[in-house]
Amino acid sequence: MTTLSPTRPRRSGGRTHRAYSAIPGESPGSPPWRALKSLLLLVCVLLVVVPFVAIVSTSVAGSAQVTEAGGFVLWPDHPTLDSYTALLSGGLVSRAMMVSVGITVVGTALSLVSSIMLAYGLSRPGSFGHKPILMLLLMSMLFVPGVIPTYLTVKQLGMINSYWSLILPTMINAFNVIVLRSFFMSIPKELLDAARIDGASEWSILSRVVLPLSKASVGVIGLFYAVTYWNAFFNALLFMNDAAKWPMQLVLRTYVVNNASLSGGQIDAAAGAPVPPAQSLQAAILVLSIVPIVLVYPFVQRHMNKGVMIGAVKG
Amino acid sequence: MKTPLTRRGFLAAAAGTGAGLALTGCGDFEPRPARLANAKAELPAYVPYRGVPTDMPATADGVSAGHRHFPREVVAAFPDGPPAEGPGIKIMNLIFNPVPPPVDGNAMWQALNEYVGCDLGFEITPVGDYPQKFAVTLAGGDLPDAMLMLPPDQNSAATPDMLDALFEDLTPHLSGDNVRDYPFLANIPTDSWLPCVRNGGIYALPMPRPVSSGPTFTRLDLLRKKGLDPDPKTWREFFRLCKDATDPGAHQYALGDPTTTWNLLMQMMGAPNWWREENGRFTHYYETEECRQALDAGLQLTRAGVVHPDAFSVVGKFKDWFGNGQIVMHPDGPAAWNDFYTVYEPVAEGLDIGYQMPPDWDAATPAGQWQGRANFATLIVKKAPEARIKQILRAMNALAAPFGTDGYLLRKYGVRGPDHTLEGTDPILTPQGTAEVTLPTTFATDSPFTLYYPQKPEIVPGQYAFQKEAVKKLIPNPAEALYSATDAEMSKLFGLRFESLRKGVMQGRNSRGEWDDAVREWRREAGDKMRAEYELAWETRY
Repeated sequence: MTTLSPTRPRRSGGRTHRAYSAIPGESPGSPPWRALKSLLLLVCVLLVVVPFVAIVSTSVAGSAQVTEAGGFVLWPDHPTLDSYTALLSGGLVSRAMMVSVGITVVGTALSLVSSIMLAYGLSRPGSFGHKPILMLLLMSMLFVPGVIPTYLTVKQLGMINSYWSLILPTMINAFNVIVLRSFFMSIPKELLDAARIDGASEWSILSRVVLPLSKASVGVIGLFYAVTYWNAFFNALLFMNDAAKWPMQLVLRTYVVNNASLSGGQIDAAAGAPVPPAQSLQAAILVLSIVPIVLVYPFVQRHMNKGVMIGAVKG
Repeated sequence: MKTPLTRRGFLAAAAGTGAGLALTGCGDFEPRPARLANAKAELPAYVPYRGVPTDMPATADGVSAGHRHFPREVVAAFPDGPPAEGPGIKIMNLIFNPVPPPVDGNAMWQALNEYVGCDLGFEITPVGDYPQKFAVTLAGGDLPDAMLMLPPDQNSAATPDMLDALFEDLTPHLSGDNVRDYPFLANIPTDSWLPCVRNGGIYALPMPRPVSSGPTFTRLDLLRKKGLDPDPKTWREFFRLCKDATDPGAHQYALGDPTTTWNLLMQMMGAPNWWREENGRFTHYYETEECRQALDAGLQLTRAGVVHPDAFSVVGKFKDWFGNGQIVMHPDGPAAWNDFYTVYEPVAEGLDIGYQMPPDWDAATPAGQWQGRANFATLIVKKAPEARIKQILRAMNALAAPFGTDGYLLRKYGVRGPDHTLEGTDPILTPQGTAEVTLPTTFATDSPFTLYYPQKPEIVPGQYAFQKEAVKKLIPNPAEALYSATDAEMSKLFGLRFESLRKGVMQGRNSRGEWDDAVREWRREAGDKMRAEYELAWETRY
């Protein structure tokens, strides 16, 4: 547990008080040093905040300002929601958002269930098929199957153009299973034996003893899976032929990688209503795509440190 | 406790698996010889469509037809009803724009299906990912009815062997006068059919683009403000114009994109358009003296400060710079002309875009205009029974309906009401239409390029004048319609390297000596083999 330890008293504004350092024995340093540290931290914060503000500002900036700036703007002169209106009017982006949310929720749930069961099985010495299954799992970390074999497998399973193709091929991540297994192995054997003596089955032990003790690691592995599902676009690119079924990230890619409002000089382009500038559309769809993760993250953030540390110290 | 898996055991198993996987990659594939791959075929007859009169007609040497207004009487492309009734057709192709709304919420797509007579299922891929998707789909074997095939130098999977094994030889349907059964395909100029020929047959449908390529666009409004002549006649005059147009204090420069700037310099010297053919002998532009001179000229421009200072470090900003006046000259594709007005006119007051032909290098070295690819890509059709092939060809014929027909209006401007309104006789897209007409029919097949911009019809004569001027100076790429296995395999790799090196030399980061070394290495590892294959192909084809 963190303790506050008194350090040498300092005089400030005619009053004497004790300064406290969060780390025992560490001095907070002289005022110039503290100012330098503050400045350094401020720069770090700005490095994170400014691009974020620029993206949000550009997404609501008017065409004239974006064109004048030749790219991103830091503060919109005349904010407009034209880019969001343009994006959401066709139905494609809102549908893609639903697809992504669905894939992330269902995929994360399935991944967690299967990973927990696999990790628990592998954490019990002498369980059925322990050695070959562990070997298979480790092999999958060394040898990635490659695009074409994966495509052939998905095709043979009849999953082309099916949402399952976005979940099943990536449902179990060997690294996440190993992290969970390591945590499960660190639970004292006596606890499990006690449960067994009380007549608990393996299912009961897993659900009533192991999982309640593993909330942090399960939480962080769940976050890893959720972020992976949310960010994935490549499987959709390969397996989803129908653009109506695309997840958000693939739609996002067409806006960010392709130029949203210019034809690349390739199209006998029709004239029409001027569309919002490409940068505004790109920024708006970026904002839309990060909203769900930003909403979810605070609820799992408290598990992050503990969960990640588990993976760091147990191999 | 016994360790469930020993380290030694794991490593041994891993090594065994790795060796097995490596062995499965071994094969003895030999590409089809250049002579067979490039064998001749009888091309489709060219039967131009004369249904819509104009004072700016298309010409045999490659000028596109121009129209100030859409005709009052829209011609029914298929007065007897939908031409391709039958089962749906799946088309795998790409898109430059964001994807359009799905068919159930897309009035234009629904109307197009009714017009053609069957459901057109577009399987769309973002342009940058298309070669990978193409290769994976081929390997999977579950092919759509038709697929866009990028040219071999952009897509190494586009091999003649693959075409022979999986795709239909369309020669019996399209060669000679047979193409008259598909009159709108017959309206596509011959140049666009040349790259569709492989293995002695017509294996693809064209996606025609204008051979005149694009000009160097100029911001006439900004140049005139400074009292500058926007039409230099020689390299010296061009260099002077660049210096006079540049005002770093106002963040205004003459040029932006280093790649197209270098292309322009090459054209000033009449350099080869990739390859030069003389008496059956091929020379790549990397090897020419013009190339070295263009690199020097590029360095001179950079040192003079007339190239935008961020030009070498950004991608995809050049159009914006041109639109907001940070650069005043910008070589680009022909369709960019309309794009500039659509995107930038609302925000760039007084926007006036002109064109510039490549100036001559000097009195003794006349400039040329690099001929544009006659196709963006081609469309290949999966092997199928004859009746199905005919249905697909009838559908593609419908997608090639030319300007002035209801089919063209539907493809480019959607449905009247939801997608466009009329201003006089001209369709103007609504916001819904702007989103819906991105349906990539133009990347299945298309009618010949038409100069038309209803929002500003007065620019069309200028576009037509540019094309008329350009076709007189065209420098073709003799290898455009030919196949070289080595080029298909290696050009991307070397292309990236030369692109980086070229920028380095133009900036002064790399020396000319490094460029020469790279060219020697290219000749040794790929260039000489490519040359031999192209020379053989040329001999076979022409």
